Amino acid sequence: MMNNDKLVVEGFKLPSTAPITPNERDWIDMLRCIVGDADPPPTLLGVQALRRALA
Amino acid sequence: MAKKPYQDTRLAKFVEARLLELKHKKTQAEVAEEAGFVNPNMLTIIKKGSTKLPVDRVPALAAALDCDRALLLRLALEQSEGSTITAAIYEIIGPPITKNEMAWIIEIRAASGDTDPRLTSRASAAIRAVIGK
Repeated sequence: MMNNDKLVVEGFKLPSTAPITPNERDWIDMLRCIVGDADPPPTLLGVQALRRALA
Repeated sequence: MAKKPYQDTRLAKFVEARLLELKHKKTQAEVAEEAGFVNPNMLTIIKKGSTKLPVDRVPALAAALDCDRALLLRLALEQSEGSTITAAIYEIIGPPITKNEMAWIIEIRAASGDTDPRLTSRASAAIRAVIGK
């Protein structure tokens, strides 16, 4: 198993791998409403929109 | 003609669509064999909605259809248990999350600095504008 501690470089933080929260469930529900059964991966445009919205 | 019991379920429609998408790579009989169905017509029976997909077949069929097993599990639970029981199962153990959905969660965590942001209408509209096309 990969040890995340060894991957942390000072000044950088890996995204958490914790279980999803109720707020994150809401995000997933929203995505499912938009895409139906398509299950698309994050795209550059999607991530950019996400970052703008969360900025 | 009598209506088939699972004809209108999302799983029946999904399997039919996925088989069409895979048509250029493998035949329906090959998918059935990969999924471990003894009867090669089983997929026809499932996609027509004559029978439901047994939940224990989800991992093998997801591999054969080259789709995320969590997605197929959600559809199979919905088909076999109905939306009320499925909602209760999710309430207790959480909904199955696909790898792509987890990738979105990781992006949300990275973009928010792991602050567990609430979904806002602004964010929802922004995402919908990009991926809802």
